[in-house]
Amino acid sequence: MTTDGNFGATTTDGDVTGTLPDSVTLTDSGFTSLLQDFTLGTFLDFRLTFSTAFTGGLPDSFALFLLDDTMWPLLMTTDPFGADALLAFDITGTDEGDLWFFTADPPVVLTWTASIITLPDPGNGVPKPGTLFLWLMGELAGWGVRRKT
Amino acid sequence: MNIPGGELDTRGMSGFARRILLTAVTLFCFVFVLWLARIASLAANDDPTLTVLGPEHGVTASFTGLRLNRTSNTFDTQATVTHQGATPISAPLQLVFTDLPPGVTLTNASSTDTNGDPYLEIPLPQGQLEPRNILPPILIKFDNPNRLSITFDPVLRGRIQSANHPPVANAGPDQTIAVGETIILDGSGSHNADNDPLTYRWALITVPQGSQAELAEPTAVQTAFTADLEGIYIAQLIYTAHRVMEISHTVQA
Repeated sequence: MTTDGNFGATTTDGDVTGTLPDSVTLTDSGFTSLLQDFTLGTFLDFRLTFSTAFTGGLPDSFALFLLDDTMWPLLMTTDPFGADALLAFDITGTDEGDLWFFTADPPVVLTWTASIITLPDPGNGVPKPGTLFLWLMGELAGWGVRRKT
Repeated sequence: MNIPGGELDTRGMSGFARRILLTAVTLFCFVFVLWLARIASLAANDDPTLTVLGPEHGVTASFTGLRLNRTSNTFDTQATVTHQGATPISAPLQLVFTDLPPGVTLTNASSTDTNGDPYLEIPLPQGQLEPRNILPPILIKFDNPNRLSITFDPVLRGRIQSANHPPVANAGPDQTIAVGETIILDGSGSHNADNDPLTYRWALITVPQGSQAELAEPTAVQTAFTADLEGIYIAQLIYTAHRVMEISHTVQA
């Protein structure tokens, strides 16, 4: 993860190893979360890699949120769950999942773009890296953020 | 103090012990009344006309995603109900959660059934779920303060409409007899999948010119007539069930 902002404290729940901006691994063994404080700059780039090592129960998801300092969503989004995620990867228990990108609702001066790269399967006997690479680049340029009440 | 079933005698007890005993009895009565109210409330939600919908009915519920909604402080998922069966399902359609882990509750439950299991009543357009239809996703919210893993295998309950399958009439095979013989016509091979009340009506629609043949019991399952002349006789069976009629094959004599 890279940003021209500043990283702050980290709070974790569940099985989380590593520290940002270096690589962090969240293991799907119950509720797992990483809360990373940071001061916004103008961009935040990061890469997500999903492995196929499914161990949890269903239904299940990985979701990314932008929260304010009271832990409420900083933006309302088109997330149909009303949870205001920026993106969600629904885990289906197979090698495939369902990836969803949401937009700010109402729109604010914030854009994010992403590209998905599928890696070839390295075969058996080798620890599987992710089959799905996700680049998410956010360009933060000014804010018209409305906070939920 | 009077309680149902007798009188409590506290004579001979110390004041402290008496107060403890009276408090305990009062608490017991209070809990008992609450329990009775709970039983009455649950019984009111019991609907014996609902059927547990299984794969044989073609109705399934699938779940997508599970997210912590920090605004409502709930774990949310979406259910999609699909009907691939042949028979319409009438409201109410209930999604019953029978196996939630302790400490996890359904916050948007419609009510609780007689087993104490929470259920969500799924809105149905025009009050019914037609075959080969998929309902819009339904949001399901769980209170999960201890952030436990949530897995569940809920049960769907609904009211199966009568399919009203058309009855199938069977007047039996073609037969050949000699003049003067009596032939028995048997309609017992007719059937109706819905088990509706049935009626039979026989008629001779074609006879040789000059024949006086008549059916013995035209409204019975079995009937008979005597072939008094050489020729072709065609008998018709009309088999009626639930105001739907099916005309039979013919019998030739």
